[in-house]
Amino acid sequence: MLLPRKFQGFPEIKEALISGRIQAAFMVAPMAIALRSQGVPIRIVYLGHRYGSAVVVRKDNPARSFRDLKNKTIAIPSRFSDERLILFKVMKEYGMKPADIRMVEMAPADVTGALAAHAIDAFSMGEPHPSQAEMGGFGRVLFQAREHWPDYMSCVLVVRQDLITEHPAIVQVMVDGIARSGLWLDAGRPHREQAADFVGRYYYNQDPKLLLWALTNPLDRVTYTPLTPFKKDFDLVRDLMLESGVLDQSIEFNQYVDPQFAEGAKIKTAWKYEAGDATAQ
Amino acid sequence: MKRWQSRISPFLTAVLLLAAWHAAVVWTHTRIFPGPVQVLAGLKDLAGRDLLAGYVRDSLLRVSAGYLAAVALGLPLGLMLGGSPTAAAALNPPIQIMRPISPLAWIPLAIIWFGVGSGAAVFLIFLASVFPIIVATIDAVRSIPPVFRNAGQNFGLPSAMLLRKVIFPAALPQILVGLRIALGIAWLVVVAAEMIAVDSGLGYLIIDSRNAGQRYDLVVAGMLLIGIVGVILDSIMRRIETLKSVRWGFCND
Amino acid sequence: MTDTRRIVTGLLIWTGVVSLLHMKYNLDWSVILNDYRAPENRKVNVAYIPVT
Repeated sequence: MLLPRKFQGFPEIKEALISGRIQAAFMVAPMAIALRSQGVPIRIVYLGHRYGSAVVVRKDNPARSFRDLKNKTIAIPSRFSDERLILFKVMKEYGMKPADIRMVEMAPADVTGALAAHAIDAFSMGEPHPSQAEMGGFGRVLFQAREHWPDYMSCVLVVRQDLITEHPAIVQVMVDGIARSGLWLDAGRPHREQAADFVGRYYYNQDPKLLLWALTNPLDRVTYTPLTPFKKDFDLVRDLMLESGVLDQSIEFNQYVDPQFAEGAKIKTAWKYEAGDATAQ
Repeated sequence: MKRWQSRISPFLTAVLLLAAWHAAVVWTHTRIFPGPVQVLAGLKDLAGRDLLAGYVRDSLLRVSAGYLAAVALGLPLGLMLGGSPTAAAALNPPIQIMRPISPLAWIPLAIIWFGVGSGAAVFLIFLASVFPIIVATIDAVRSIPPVFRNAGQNFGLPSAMLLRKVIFPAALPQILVGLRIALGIAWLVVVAAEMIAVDSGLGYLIIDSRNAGQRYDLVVAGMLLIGIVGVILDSIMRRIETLKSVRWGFCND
Repeated sequence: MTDTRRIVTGLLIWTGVVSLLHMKYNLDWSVILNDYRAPENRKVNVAYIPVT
């Protein structure tokens, strides 16, 4: 029923989604909101995870807080990313101006190499890249997203409106699968160890050890419950987008979120078996 | 064909192509792909924000820097290798292996060596144009009729003077063709080069518009601008080829 | 004449070999076949990216 397709960058996912080549996608929440406000017929139906983003500096960097990164270059995955918004949120807390740091957009796969090679001073990125920098011995997490943004979320499940209208059952199966996987992953370390192993080998083509680090170091580095989209979380994202100039006009929660599938998934329980599922997240 | 017809025909083709483009966008009701009117509006928007001229200038500066560095290295190296079969045999394998590698493949290394910014972009343009220049210069030197060299040696010219007075001028017409092709390649990779986190330029305009959601009008505008500037660069190089000192290499009048 | 024939045959064989290797290693047939299925049993393409 579902065909997982691996992409390497958010612009590619965006293009495939707006041209209808794919019907559903995991993408950063601000990009989904921006596309919806530009008239693309899509809806956010569920979250992919919570937390899991961090600002990482080189190990030898003496910075103790974000304030010390003034006039430094920081890589972000996209201007429409929560990883960029959290930088604005932190700068606001510290009374810094947007011009105090230099942000560059880079493909997620490039940032760890760039950090190690001194091409950038820091990056704000989702897992497994912070873990990769830590495991590689050249990176240090300056702060995790949760320290400055309670209930932080990043990648969300976006579905084209025509799929919702024509095949709501398929969307429900997908959301149910993610909900059950989320509960299963949050049930304890053995499940996470197993997930790191099969996702690394069959879906991400990444070292299972790396995913294990990202999923268990500590155990709540990335969490998978609750994944229901809440209005207050998205209002915060929208307001930060407006403030940082990546959204032209305000847009209401119910215009870009369709909560019916999350509602339907609430009664679901974790997978009973100790094997994988097909949702790739 | 009469003269006025050959003057008119390129404009006619342009009008027809634009009309076909516009019609295709209207008929397919696409909301993603921009028509010529939207592209023009996008260009106006850019010009209104005083970005357009700066983008063209920055791209030209980067390409000039990379290209001139390639000429500065490639031309002497090519002359040397063309004149010395031993040196050519020694250096040929690495040059031939590096030559077919796309500048895109160099991006990760360029970031590591030059950081994110103009340095890496200039490096990629340099890489793309240096090998064609070396190879074209070697070929140009080798295809000089041996009688020129022999005559020079018979007059007892020292080797430095032989290079300056005989070999270089004799090879120049063909070298210039190589330089023109290399400039075309240098301009061709401006998009790839400006993918690396610079914040100006025509390549950056395309990447930036792509990242900005649905601004495909600016993507197409960037493509057209690159094409137009490329044609201008090429015609300048062609003009140089018709200068008196090199014209003998191309025609017999 | 025989040279022309040998060159053409060589090119055809080369093109054939490269095409076969391309179809074997580069194309994802599950994706291509999916596009030709009847709409009611076509799978939904779900994009993901190996980053959280």
